[in-house]
Amino acid sequence: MDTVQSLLYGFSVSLTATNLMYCALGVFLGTIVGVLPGIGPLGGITILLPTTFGMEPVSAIIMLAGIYYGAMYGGSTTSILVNIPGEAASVVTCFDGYQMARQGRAGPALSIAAFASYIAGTLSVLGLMLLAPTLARLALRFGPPEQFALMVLGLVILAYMGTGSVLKALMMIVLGLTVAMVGIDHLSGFTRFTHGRVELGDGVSFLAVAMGLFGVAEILVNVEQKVVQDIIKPKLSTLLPTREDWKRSIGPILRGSGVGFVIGILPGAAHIISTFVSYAMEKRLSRHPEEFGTGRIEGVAGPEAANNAATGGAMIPFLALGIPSSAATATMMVALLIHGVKPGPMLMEQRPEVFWGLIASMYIGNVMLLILNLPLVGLFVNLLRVPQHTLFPFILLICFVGVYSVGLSTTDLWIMAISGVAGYLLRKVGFDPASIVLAMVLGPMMEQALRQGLMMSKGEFGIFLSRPISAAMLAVAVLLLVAHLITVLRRAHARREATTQEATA
Amino acid sequence: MDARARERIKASVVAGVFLLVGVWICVEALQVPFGSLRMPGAGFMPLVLGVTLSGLAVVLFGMDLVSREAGSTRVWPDRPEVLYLVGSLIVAVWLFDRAGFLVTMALFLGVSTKVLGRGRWLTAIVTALIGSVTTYWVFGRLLQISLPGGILSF
Repeated sequence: MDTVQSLLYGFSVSLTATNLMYCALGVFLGTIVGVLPGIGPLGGITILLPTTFGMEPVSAIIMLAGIYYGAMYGGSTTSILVNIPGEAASVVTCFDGYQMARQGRAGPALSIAAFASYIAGTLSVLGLMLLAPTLARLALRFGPPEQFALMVLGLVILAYMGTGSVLKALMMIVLGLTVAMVGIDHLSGFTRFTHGRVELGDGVSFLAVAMGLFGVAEILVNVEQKVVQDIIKPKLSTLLPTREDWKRSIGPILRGSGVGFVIGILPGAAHIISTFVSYAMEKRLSRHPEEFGTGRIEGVAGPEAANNAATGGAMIPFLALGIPSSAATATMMVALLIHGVKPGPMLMEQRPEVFWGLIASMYIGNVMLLILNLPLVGLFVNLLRVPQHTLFPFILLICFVGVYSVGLSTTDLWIMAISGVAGYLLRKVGFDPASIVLAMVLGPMMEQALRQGLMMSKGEFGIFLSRPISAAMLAVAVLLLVAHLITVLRRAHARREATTQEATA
Repeated sequence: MDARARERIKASVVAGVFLLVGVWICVEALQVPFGSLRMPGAGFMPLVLGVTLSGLAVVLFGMDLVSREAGSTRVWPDRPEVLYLVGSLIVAVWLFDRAGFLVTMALFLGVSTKVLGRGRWLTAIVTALIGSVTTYWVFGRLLQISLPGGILSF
């Protein structure tokens, strides 16, 4: 099947009444998740994951993907109207979006955010559709050494591109990989880290850890940060952008789409980083950079396009290589694995309905979001009025049911509670636990690839360096770490010099 | 003690905890066969990870020692509600199998709504009853998830 035929087949899958309903439900729930401060797309996907267990795999992934890109749309609403980002990727939208709202231009800000998201979302799906099959064909040539090197590179980029300290991110990755080691070793049959507990034989429940780290911990952090909300209500008569607004926005939207898509492919906090890169780029290209932060529409259009395009980019490594590049796509991968579908190079051959059905649903979902977001802005804004003391206990209740429903085990509930408290404490001391989740998914694959590689070479580590693809990937990983080390040392040197100068002055 | 010194102590404790975790992983990894490089065993990867985490913890300790930046994060919660919520979460997990879904979740919803909202008990009780019964009906009856009956076994 060529791409056009495959896409038409995808539309025939996603345009069934059931899948359309799940797509609509996904983008609607995603928008709510994006609007509500405190629950990010990852928390939303994790909390709603158990509700997909009774569905067909294609319906489940359509709904979860809908939550993922829907949250990017929703996040901008709170940034513009309340100056509180609904999720981390909407922080940049606050800079100019809220200023526009204060000047009485909330309508154009909201609508350009929605249009930018729609255009970027659609373009990124186009990129995903064209790039994923090529990458999947290339990945079919990968043996264990290449797979291992790819995962090492992915995790190093994850640490490097993260929002905090690289060292701390590496520690979280190692911790996540270790959690993945718990249970029976499938190559030898030995149990590890279980201390005789039968419930841990199959390993630590991914869902329990993810629910704890992103459901429970997120709520504990939010309980601590009580926020006062001053909501600006947009007037519907001024909702649409003017011709001048469009003229100023179209360039940033197209550039943001490109930046977001490319950064989205890379592991790490891609959707967050892409917004900052897009904002910085627009400011640099502008004739009036000094006006950024005072309500420039380009400051809304570019970053909003970037964070939506990043979602399409992030789907590529997950669907084509079977290696998720973010915690959100790792959760979606777990959802597919639970349904017996293994993402990776063979997905397009073995389960074309899942791959092409998902891609077609993303085109449809982006249209649905545009239709949903503009007229229902008032409804979504009112969600912000739901008091935290009502919302948070209900989210925790859903976490309880969700975790228990999978394994019918209170051990999983204990793991959720412990992960929740650990996630809260880790954030307080400057660690981002998102890497733990991604490493947990990659852990078993990475161990298998490493051990198989060593067995192939009869114990020679040289196999990872003698094959060109794996050698190149490991070289890039080492270069990134060395580059980071040099930066750290330079900064320390500069600080020392500054202190010496201060002392002599 | 100034803020910088306090922050350094906190950072050292954090690095120390990770070092202990790393050492513990190594000890656990040594309980299962390491194998050889030709045929790596179940303990191979965990040992590599334990050693790596310990090494990274030592680097973190060293970096915190020479760092001149003073932070301001407090590990202890700024609001007591966080502790109440953690407490009720632990009690709810403990009660879940013993008292059953309905009783545990009603108690959890009631207490957490009251603690977070600082409102009236009546509001908390109504929220607890409606919330737990609705959730039980949706998940237990409609979605056929087997939830523990506990003392209200039906």
